[in-house]
Amino acid sequence: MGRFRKYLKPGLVVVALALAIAAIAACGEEEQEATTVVNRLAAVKERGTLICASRNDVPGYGSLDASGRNVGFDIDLCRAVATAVLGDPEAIEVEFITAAERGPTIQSGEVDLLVRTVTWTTSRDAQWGNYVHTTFYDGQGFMVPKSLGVDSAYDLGGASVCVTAGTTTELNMADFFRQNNLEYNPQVFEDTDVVLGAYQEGQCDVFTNDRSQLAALRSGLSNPGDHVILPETISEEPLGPVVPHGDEQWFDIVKTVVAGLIYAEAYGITSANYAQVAGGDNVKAKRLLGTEGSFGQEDLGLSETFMQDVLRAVGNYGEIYDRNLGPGGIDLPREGGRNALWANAPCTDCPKGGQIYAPPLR
Amino acid sequence: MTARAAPAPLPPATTVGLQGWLRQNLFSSWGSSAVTIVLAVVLSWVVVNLGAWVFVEADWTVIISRVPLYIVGLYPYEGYWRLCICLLLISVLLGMSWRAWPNAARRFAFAFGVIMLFVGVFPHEMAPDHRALLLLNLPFIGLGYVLTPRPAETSPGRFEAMAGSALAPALERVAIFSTPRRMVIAALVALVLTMILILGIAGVPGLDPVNPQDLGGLMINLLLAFFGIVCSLPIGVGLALGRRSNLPILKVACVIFIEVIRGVPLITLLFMSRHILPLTFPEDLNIDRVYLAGITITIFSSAYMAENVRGGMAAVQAGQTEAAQALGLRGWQTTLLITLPQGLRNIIPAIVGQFISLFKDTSLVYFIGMLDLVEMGRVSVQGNQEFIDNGREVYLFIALVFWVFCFSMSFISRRIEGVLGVGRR
Amino acid sequence: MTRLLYVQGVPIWRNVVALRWIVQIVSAVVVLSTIALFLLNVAREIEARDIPFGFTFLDRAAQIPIGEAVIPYDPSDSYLYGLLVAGLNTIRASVLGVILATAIGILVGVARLSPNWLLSRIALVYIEVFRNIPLIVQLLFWLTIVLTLPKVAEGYVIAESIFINNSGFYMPWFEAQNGFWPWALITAIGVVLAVYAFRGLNRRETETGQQSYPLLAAAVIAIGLSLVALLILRPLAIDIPQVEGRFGRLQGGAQLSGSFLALLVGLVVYTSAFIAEIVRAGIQSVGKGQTEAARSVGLSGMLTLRHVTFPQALRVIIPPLISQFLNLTKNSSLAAAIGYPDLVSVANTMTQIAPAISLFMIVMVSYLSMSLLYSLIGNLYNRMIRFKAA
Repeated sequence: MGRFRKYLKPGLVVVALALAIAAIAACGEEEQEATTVVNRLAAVKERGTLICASRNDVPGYGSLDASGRNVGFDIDLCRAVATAVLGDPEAIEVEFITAAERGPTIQSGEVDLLVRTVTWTTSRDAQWGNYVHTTFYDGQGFMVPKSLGVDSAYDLGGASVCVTAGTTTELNMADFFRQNNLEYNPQVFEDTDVVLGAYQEGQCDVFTNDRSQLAALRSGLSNPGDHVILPETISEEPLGPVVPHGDEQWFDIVKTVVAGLIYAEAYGITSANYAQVAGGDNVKAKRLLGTEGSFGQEDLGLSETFMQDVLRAVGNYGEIYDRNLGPGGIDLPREGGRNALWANAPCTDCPKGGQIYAPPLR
Repeated sequence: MTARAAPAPLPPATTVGLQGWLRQNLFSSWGSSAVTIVLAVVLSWVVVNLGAWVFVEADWTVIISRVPLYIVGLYPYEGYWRLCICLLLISVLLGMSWRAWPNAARRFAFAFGVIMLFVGVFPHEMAPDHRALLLLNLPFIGLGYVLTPRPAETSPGRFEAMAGSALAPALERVAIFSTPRRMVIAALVALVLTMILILGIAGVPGLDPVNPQDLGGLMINLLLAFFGIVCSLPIGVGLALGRRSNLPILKVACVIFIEVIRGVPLITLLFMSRHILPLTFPEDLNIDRVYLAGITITIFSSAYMAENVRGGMAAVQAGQTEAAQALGLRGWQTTLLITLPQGLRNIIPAIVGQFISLFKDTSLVYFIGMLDLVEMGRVSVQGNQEFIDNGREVYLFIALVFWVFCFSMSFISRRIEGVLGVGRR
Repeated sequence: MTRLLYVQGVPIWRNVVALRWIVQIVSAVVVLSTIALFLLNVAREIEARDIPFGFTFLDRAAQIPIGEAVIPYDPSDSYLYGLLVAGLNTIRASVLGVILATAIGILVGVARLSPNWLLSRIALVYIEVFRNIPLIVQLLFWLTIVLTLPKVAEGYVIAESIFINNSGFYMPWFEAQNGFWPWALITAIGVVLAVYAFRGLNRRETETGQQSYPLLAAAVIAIGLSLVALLILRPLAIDIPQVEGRFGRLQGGAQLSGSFLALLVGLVVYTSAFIAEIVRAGIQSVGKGQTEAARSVGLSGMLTLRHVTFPQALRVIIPPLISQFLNLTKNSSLAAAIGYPDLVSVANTMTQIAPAISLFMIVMVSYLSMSLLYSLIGNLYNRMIRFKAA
């Protein structure tokens, strides 16, 4: 007991010290409680660049050209928003992310825009961020070698199926085969070139992906005629940009920019002729270009004539499509497909049959 | 030969000349001969096929058309000259090392100079000023060599006053790396200058800041590995000391840290650091993921470094500690002055080995979307339809680049081992 | 007040006991408050930013495909079960990888010391090439090699039961029948008996110097007992792979898929290069005098290796070997790149619906427990050799 008492006093002093330190640490914790309200538009303007999460490994959507410049459909959407907000299509920072990173990246709000061929699904809309607008309609299909003599996806029982990892494609495939009681053997790879290699060498019999991708990849094969894309489409794949939750104004800005791109095409305004049209007599076109009237630009904190900058920088929706996905890129047919415009303004009642459509600019 | 009348005993098998060498090393017995023949056939088959593919079938456009992307990533072209100057700084340091440790560094300095010379005169598309800067490397190696004083013979007995005769020999051996103080200063200055040159400073003309994410290719692999090793050394020493300490809580904390970091794959650490670590920073502090990757790799490496340091310190003979105690050095003095320095000297080869494996591991930063050498290759193949069939060429090229670096580093490591006499105790 | 700081006339800052306590507690407070701050911050931010996190998803149906599974799997199974399937895939690759890498590593390490110049050079080239190239690049290379094998329909068939093609390696395998468990029990008993016999005979050999073939005796006991039981109980049937369906895919038997083969070859080749160096260093660490001494007391080459060289080399070899096993297991996480559904790869797929952060936490904990297992084995070994030394 006596031995113990000897240590009692130093022990008490030490414990007191420790408590004091713990208290200080706890106070430090209290101070940080205040949460800041994010105004993304202000943040982007202050930063001077728009941060887009995108990809660099899919031709047509997002890739690097030989000089290391980001090109592609998704990248052009990012450039359009950057031009609308900052006036400069080069004021973008592209963060390359893997499929698994898409959720955490947009959830944490560290990027301003996610444009990375993300399929719009309800649970993602709830968990990840706000889906802005569908800019490309796709659907999942199957490609098989002609020599196998298969002409329907329902005949694929017992096949080995190649698919890229971390996409809805994988999940849709599982649903399809389970629903139809078909045996199959999935082969999941991370990289498209590996999948394509495995398919070409016959490690798997079927290659499943978004139809647009399949068409593009087939055209790159040494003998495209030897492969058929089966008629069945097993899923809806609406692709479009996503913004982080929690900032309505920013959500609306991106929506308006996309709408502007679509209507610019509908009105026939291109990067080549926007200056003449701005001074012309088409009332709707003049409203879009900001030379007469308004469609809510100032409410969103954008400049009156931001669409003129956007058109000069990247062109209208059709130009972006043609440059990346159309004849200038991976050559997907557009006319008559789902990605044609719904209407050919000003004749709003004469459908062109496509699904590309936006809320009216007014 | 001519027939002889009386059969003389057979001459002993030759042991000299080509024939003798072959007999001794390749055909010493039936088994050995069989192994040799089988291996020779397999080897020539591999060489012929590989050669045919490399020189005839392969299409190297995917590499040739985008060489800068593989080397420096998206680094802006206007800043290339800054990178060239960084190379010159490395040349000066190499020249200095040549003088200080001729056995370990001579060949490396020489090889570096020759490679720069080769790249400088190789007929390909390159701006004349970059070419000139590359060619300057050779004279700069010479400059470094001239600037360094001949390594002074360690004055015998200069430690005797300090630590008594029992420890003097140990301290003399440790003194090997304290001798050229000038070199340490030069290396630090070069390090700071390199960082300034690569990243730039806002507002200084000619040194426009570069977005860290644009650093890529081989450059980012080397930078990450280098900074990972340099920064992890002090942390690793701290962790190792913590693990050796007799304060239970500190010890347990260090053990848990080390074992957890060593127990999980680097890609999961990278993923977590990318998505969890930023949550702990203040809202307005946006740390670029390149730095996040750097921090993660440093933490990862420091756990391994701690184990190396611990091993190195454990290998220090007990007599050293006992001598120190006999001289009246305190516990911490013994550790800091006797055990730690000798332990560190023991692990120099291990540090080089760790640098090699860290360099290879930096190829995993693709997992968080950084454009290192491997990812750049992958992206070049994936993102361009015309190259979708050229994966093999790209991966072979990348493998070769990594191999050249790792092999030359392990070569140097062996030289250093020889110079320091590690393992000859 | 100042009297409080003195104990028996010694100020507290000179009191060794108090100092130790202070350092202890300060370090404890620093460590614990750092951890607490970190966790609190993360928890607060996760809530503030509305980041999905939690583990309630684990018993929902995963609805994802997993290409190969050791135990039966269906997309309607839960996330937890899916992760278990994936974890077993990781373990399968690790265990096979560890066994093969050790075997090949020892072969190459011994070849490295061979007197045959060509053999030792080729071993050197093997080591230097494969340990100096990042594993991810090697894996992609091996996958292309597997893909150059012929297709299923044109693949190699051996004795109409073993199939080799670019979809994988298929061979007959056993199917458990009624008598399986009794047979397994008898085999286990046989193994235990064999171990005892080995120990006893080995001791006799060491003590008396009489050659008593312990390994042979042990093998005869274990295998003989198992075989006799096998013939009587007939616990196993043989399942031969069959070509089925319009795509000519193989069903039944044991299957090693192309991706798995590529992963296995990559892991084995990469790790065996490191193991070879460890083995070489281990063998060289045994002094020449030891071998010579063993020879001079009349031990044959084989006995020298078993009783003198190997036990001594093993002490040097085992600890780094175990850390290589751990590395191999961790490296199997690169399987995602070549299409083998390991833990990381499946978790990656699951992130599309389930919270990514939770999933990666589970993955990290799984790897951590595997590595603790290796540490445990390593520590047991260390304790064992220390025991013998005493």
